[in-house]
Amino acid sequence: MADDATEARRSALAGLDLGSRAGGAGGVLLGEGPAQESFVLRGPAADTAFAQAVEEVLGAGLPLEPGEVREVCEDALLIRLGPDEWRLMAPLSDDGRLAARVASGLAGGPGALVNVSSASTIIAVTGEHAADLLATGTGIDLDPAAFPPGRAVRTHIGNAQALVQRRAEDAFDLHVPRSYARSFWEWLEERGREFDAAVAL
Amino acid sequence: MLLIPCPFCGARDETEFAYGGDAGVERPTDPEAATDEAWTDYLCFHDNPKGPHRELWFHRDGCRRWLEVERDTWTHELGAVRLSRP
Ligand SMILES: [Zn+2]
Repeated sequence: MADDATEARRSALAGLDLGSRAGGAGGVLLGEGPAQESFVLRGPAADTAFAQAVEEVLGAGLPLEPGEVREVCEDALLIRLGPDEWRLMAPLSDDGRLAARVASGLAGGPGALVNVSSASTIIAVTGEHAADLLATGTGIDLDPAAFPPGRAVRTHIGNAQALVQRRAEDAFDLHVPRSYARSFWEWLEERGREFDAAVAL
Repeated sequence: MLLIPCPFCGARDETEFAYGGDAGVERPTDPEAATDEAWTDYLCFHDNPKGPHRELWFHRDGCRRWLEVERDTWTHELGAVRLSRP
């Protein structure tokens, strides 16, 4: 896993030259989020050995509510995405070390960990009208009462499947498949015109 | 548009799902021993009721699980929904 993390990274949005267009104020700011390590964790939630193996390495139990996001050790996050599926997000600087420990903790048991770091592009949508913009392309209820900050949800937005992490009432990180990143960005810009969207610095 | 109550995710738009057809079709348990009639029946001859239907839906953009959904093909009214393989 460390080999993957040290190879040169090139953003799927590199061709848009966002740096030269950044700046200005708007009702929504669009930007590329910092690249992170991302892993799919699969295993039976009700299996004690699986749950304990994860908890021993991460220092926190499995989040069990749908969409629950839990902070675990090494500044990593664990997100519940399905009955037997979680997403582990770790800072790039971790360089695969945490995941390697999880994988060896799971060895011999019913769980599995797969590196999907290169599969997604993270786009940050922030600002007063961030939720209004996203609401034009998804059926998810974005009212903070139904989808509070600190939660996540996997759904469909615009033209792509997206894992939506709500960081604050007006701040979302969207993890979209890398091959959709560019057209999804263009969709955000097109819908964002109504809200004076600008590219974040 | 259907609003399908996923047992894990909650109510979600139909566009998040892929339709998987009749949930009551039984695959021949011993493929080597199945007759041509049994295979043809399994692959091609399904009921097409006007009314209650038990069918499969894949929650592609949500929890990525197959659901068994009771739906009235005439009124689109939804009944019980459960994970296909809990
Ligand atoms: Zn679901």
